[in-house]
Amino acid sequence: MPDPRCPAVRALTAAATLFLCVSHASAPGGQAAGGPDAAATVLACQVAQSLPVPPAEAREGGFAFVFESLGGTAADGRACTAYRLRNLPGSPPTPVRWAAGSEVLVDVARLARCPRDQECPWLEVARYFDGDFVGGETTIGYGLNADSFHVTSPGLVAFSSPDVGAAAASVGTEVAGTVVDSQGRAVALDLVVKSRFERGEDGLTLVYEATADDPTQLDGTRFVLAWEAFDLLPGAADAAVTGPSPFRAAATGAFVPVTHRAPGAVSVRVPAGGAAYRDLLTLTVREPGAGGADLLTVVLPAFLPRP
Amino acid sequence: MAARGPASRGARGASPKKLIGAGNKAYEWLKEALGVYGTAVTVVQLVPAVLALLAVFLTPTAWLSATLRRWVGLGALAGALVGMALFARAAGPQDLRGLVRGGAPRSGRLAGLGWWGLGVGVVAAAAFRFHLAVIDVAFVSSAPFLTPLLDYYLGGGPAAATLYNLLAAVLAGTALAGFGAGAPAALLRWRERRLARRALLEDGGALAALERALSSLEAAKAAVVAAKAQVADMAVELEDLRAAAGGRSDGPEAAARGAAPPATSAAGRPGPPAPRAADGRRRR
Repeated sequence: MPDPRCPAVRALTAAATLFLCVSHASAPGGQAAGGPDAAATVLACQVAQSLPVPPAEAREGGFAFVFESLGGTAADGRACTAYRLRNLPGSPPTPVRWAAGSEVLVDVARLARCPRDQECPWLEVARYFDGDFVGGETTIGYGLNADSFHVTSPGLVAFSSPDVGAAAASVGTEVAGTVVDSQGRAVALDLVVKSRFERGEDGLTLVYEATADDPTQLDGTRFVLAWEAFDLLPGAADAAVTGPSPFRAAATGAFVPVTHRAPGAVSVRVPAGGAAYRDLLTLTVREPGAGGADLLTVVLPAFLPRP
Repeated sequence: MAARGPASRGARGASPKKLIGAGNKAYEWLKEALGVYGTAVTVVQLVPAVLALLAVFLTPTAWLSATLRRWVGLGALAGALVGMALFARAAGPQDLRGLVRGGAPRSGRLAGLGWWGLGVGVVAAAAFRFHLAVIDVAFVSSAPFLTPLLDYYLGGGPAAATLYNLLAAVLAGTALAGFGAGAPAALLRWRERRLARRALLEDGGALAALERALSSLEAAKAAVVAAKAQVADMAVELEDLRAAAGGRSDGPEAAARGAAPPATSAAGRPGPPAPRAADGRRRR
């Protein structure tokens, strides 16, 4: 095997990546330029395009994993993108940060160690939004501090443009897969977190909601959801209140009480005079308790009260 | 050849032997040169591998992380500052009261700081290199007992990564502090001792004066020894002169002295010696 630190190998890798970028970066969203199986569905996303094709391997410094980005249409007709990562057999725990410019698409504290004799499952993150997605250059950092090694790869990036004047709108992120906490325990994730608003007789209501089939995903005992939206939502966080809520403010870690519960869903509902869309917010899946370690960070924009 | 005499070995007999000796010598030289050439070729062939090993040793994969480099840079900067402060403290003069209170003299402080600093620096540098190696996947796969450490640092999330960076910074800082304090201290002490020794040996220096005093003492000792020998010679001459003067006088006492056996062995000597004061001086 050639030494991955060899400049020639790096140059070849960079050249190959550049070639892939040039080949695919100009592909507009919604077109099947990537040519995946049209019937493929990842989470709730009907895949129409994927980049890179085939899924690329990052293999340097003893780390080895596969990644790909997918784009398509959700069941409700909105656009969707999905990012998938999978450690290859025999690979060590791998911190990975996948970014497009300043936007962090997926930041996994670590992909779990993958035994030599088995194929490890994908960690999948899907976004559902009104808008489109385009192919562009993305960067994947991995290894120590998730920045020891870098791969530049074409990837699909979402451009969401919801209509805040509509009767209702929603953006959401679905996470499915297994991450590992700081004690080495596997934490299964399978939930959808969304921000939406509804206009009713009582006016506009902002809803911050998490849904899952497994109620243990929503009680905050195995992990909590630290969302930057709660840092920007006046009065949402209340450190004095405790209870079974998965929501936390991202910056302060303050508890955010759940206002509504339904089977398979918990939500925080906030009446507002108007809604403003705020892009580039992140949702962090975090270990419960004070000072809990971050397990996974993904993009999750939100609707906020209009100032 | 056995029949040949020594004369026949002169012009013609020695040539084959010399020729064989020269041939042997040339063969030995050739063999030695070939040995040196073989060794050189082997060494030259090993140079790329050694350089590659050095490159691998000096550029661990952990070093590729920009975040780690920032932490280590900060640690090294702090360590260098601490090292400079320690060196300045040890190199500064100490007043008499400090010495009276039990403080070490400056040279002692420099020597201590030199040894301790370099020792701590070497140990911390080795620990730092090992710390960088424990997250090297290839290295850990050859030392499986380190796997839990690798899993913790790489898989423990941001907290574990921060701990790793912090430890690296502390070790790098300690190494820099040790080298930054120890190396200048050792160098300064060595330089000062060399200068002091040279100053003592120069004209006007204490050691030079002592050297001169020792030389003068030697010269004086030699003069005293010579004087002692001269005095002894003069005593002998005086005795001889007395004996000669006694032999020239007439009378019964002289006759009786002549009939009596000689009182000393000097009396049996063959004639009085000539005055030898000059010889005595020459012997000096």
